[in-house]
Parts: sequence; structure tokens; C-alpha cells
Amino acid sequence: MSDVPPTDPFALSRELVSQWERSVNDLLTQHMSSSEFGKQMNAALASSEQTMKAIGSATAPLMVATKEDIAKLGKRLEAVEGQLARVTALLERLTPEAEGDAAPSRSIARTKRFSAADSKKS
Amino acid sequence: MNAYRSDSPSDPTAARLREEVERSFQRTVKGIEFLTSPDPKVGTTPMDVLITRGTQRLMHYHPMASEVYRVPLLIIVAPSNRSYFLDMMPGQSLVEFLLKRGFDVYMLDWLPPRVDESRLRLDDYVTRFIPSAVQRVLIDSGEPELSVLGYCAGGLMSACYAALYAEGPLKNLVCLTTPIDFEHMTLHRNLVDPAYFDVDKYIDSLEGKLVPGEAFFQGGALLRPVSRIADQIKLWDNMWNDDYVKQYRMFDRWVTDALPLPGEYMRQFIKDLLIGNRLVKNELMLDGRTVRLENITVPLLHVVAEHDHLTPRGATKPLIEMAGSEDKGEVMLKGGHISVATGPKAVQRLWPKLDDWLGRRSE
Repeated sequence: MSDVPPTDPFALSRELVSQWERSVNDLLTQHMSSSEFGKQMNAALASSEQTMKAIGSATAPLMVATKEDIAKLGKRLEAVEGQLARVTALLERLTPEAEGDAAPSRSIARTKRFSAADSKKS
Repeated sequence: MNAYRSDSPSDPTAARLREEVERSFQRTVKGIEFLTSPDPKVGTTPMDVLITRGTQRLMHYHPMASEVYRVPLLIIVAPSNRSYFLDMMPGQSLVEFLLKRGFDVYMLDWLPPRVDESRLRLDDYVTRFIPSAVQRVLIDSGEPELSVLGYCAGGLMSACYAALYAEGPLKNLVCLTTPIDFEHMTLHRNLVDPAYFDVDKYIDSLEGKLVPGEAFFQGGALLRPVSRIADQIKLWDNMWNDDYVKQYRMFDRWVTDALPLPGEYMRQFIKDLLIGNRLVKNELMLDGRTVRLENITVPLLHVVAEHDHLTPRGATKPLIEMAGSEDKGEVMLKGGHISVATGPKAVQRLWPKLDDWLGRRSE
């Protein structure tokens, strides 16, 4: 049961949103658990793909970027991001502050003992 | 009439109304801030990168305690996710917490795979990337053994590694929300049902044969179809609350920031695990060897979430049942697939449990 005061309309509205989210999610996921859903979903995806291809052919003379073009750009961007992450990672290894702060792992005292009392405090 | 009279404690409705009006004003001001400010910084715990080889990256975090446990800890995350969700910000970072509790922490995470890595399979992750990271951790720490903590698909790969390399050097294994029995992942299986979905055609049609991160994000969103809308409503409602907005931004950034996956990895994942369910049947072959979870003999802890929509209870259950370890246990915590591992609730629920379980076994 909800502990929302019955006289607080703002709290009630928030509780209603949460209830709506829960019930609609449950209902839809129940439907998605059926094998019929897989069939419908894949049919919808195939149909959407066909439609996009048809739109692509129809709009080709207009020289506008298609979804496929944008997706290709997205791929390029992902690749650039990947390269950038690698460069950043390499640079981080080279920066003086990283070297200065880094304690060689072997030089750390590996002597810590487990303390149940200490653990309970965490 | 005194306009402030309604503010008295004896008139709670008026006080509540005033509070809502103030919040409404703050929402507008902070809403503009929200739209114009950059994403919050994440993953800021100081570390060194020990390996970057294609998609593979091994990091070592700078210790934060004067003395550490003898056994180092290697965290392995799923190839579909950025690792910063375990290192969101000071005070809400599992990595920082473990460092402060005296663990020597390493992290194996993944960068976006290059086009020439589209042929990577689960075999490569389990029998190449994890063993090479493990060796590097041992060399770096000077210790002969280590603990591994794997999250989600990272847990799956860690469990496979533990089963294939039972002779060591693994000392302890912790898996978080790790799927084992894919029969119970109903929605995922429906989406890739071979009767309606041609996985080979799909993978072969992909540009560069890499599965876009967007596909993974959309698949996850499908499991909670209206949550994105509800989240937006809740965000607006809480726009006055700086902490809520900060949390929302960090998690939203992470959830939508999924990594692309190698096409072959995805093909194998769908065929062998989602459809074939081979792991639980002891039929999963990696690098010519059969993965038998009964070969896991090290102390094992599996943490599962009570409200996990991505890996349901049935999918996670067999790990403890099948593992051959004498010292093994499962803990079910309140929370969902992500909130069980990170976020304000995880700080109170999961993290102290990890500290206690690993601490006892890391001397």
C-alpha cells in the first residue's frame, strides 16, 4: 500500500505516475513475452526497412541526407570517438601528474588484515 | 488580510502549496541550466592505464589506503557498457569505496571496437583478453593470485574464465547479476527467435559488421517500455533538486552511452546463449574447450537484484547451483539490474557486503 497522505494532491499525482509506469510496463512486458510479439516485432522491423528503402529511392534526386547516410556518419563518429578514447588513454599515461601520483603497485604495503568491526562501519 | 498567515504550521495545505510554487519556479530556472550545462564529469578516480590493445583496456587505480589487502581485485565489465558507471563521482563510486576500504583495484573495460575487431568472439574475451589482463595484474602487483568481480556479461565471462582456468590463479570470484540460463530471458529470445529473425542476415548487413550501441540501448529500453517517459516526468518534477538532477544526468548518460559490439560476438551470443542456451547445458565451447560451471572451485559470491528486468531470477539462479565451489553463496538485494550495483541504494546495500565478503578472503 502507498504511504502517500490522501490530502496531498501533489504527492498523489507522483504516486499515480509511478503506478502508471508499473502497470503499463507490466502489461506490455507480459504481451512481449508471447512468441506472437517476436513475430510482430520482426515483421514491423522488416516493413520499416522496406519503407525506408522506398523513401530513400524516392528522395535520392533531392540530394538530402538519408537515415542511412546519418547512420554512416554516426558510425564514423563512433570510430573517431574510439580513436579519441585511445589517444586520451595514451596521453593519460604520459601526463606528469599521473606519473607523480601513481604508486608502483608492488611498493604498497599488502599487509591489511580483515576486521569484522571495521567492515561493519563501512 | 495578511498574505503570510497561511504559512503558519497549522495550515499544512497552504505551506505545501507554497512549497510547490517555489519548486515550480526553481524548475524553470534549473531547467534552463539543465539544457545549457555540459554533462557531469564521471570516472574521475585517478588511475594508470596498463594495457590498451584495440577494444581491451586494463586500468589500475591509485590506492587510497595506507595498506591494502594482499590479494588484488580485478573488475570486469560487460563489453556493451562503459565502465564509469562503477566510478560515477566521489562518494558514489564503487571503485573509490573499494580503494578506501583497502583493496588494490584493477579494471578491465572496453573501448569501442575497431572495424577490424568485428570478428572478435566470446572466445577472445574469455581466453585472450581476460588471461592477458590477469597476467598483467599479477606482474604489476607481484602477487600469485587475484580476485575477480564481474558485472552482467562481464560476470558471465568471468564465470566462464573461472571454469576454464580452474587451476588458478583465481582466488575469489564475485558475479553481479550474471545471466546463466537464457531460457528465462523471454523477451530477448522472442526478439531473436530464428522463426522470424535471421541473425546471420542482420549481422552481415551491418556496416563494418559492428552492432551499434544504439541497438543495445533500444533493446534494454524495450524491457521497460514506458519508463523513459515516466523518467522524463519525474525529472521535471524533481528539477528543483540538484542531487536528483545530477544523478539523473549521470545515469542517463551511461544508459544511452552503450558501446558497439563486434558482430561475431553478437552472432555467437544470440546463437549459442540466447537461442542454444548452451552454457547451462554444459555445451558451450570456447576456444575448443567446453565450459563446465562445475569446474569453478574458488569461493564464489553471486549478487542478484530482486527487481532485475534485464536478467530475471530464473536466468541468474543456476550459477550457484552449478558451481563446484564449497564456499559459495548468493545474496539477493533490493533494487534493479543497475541500481543494485551503483547509486545511492547500492552504497548502503551492496558495497558493505562486497567489502565484508572480499575482505575476509583477500588477506
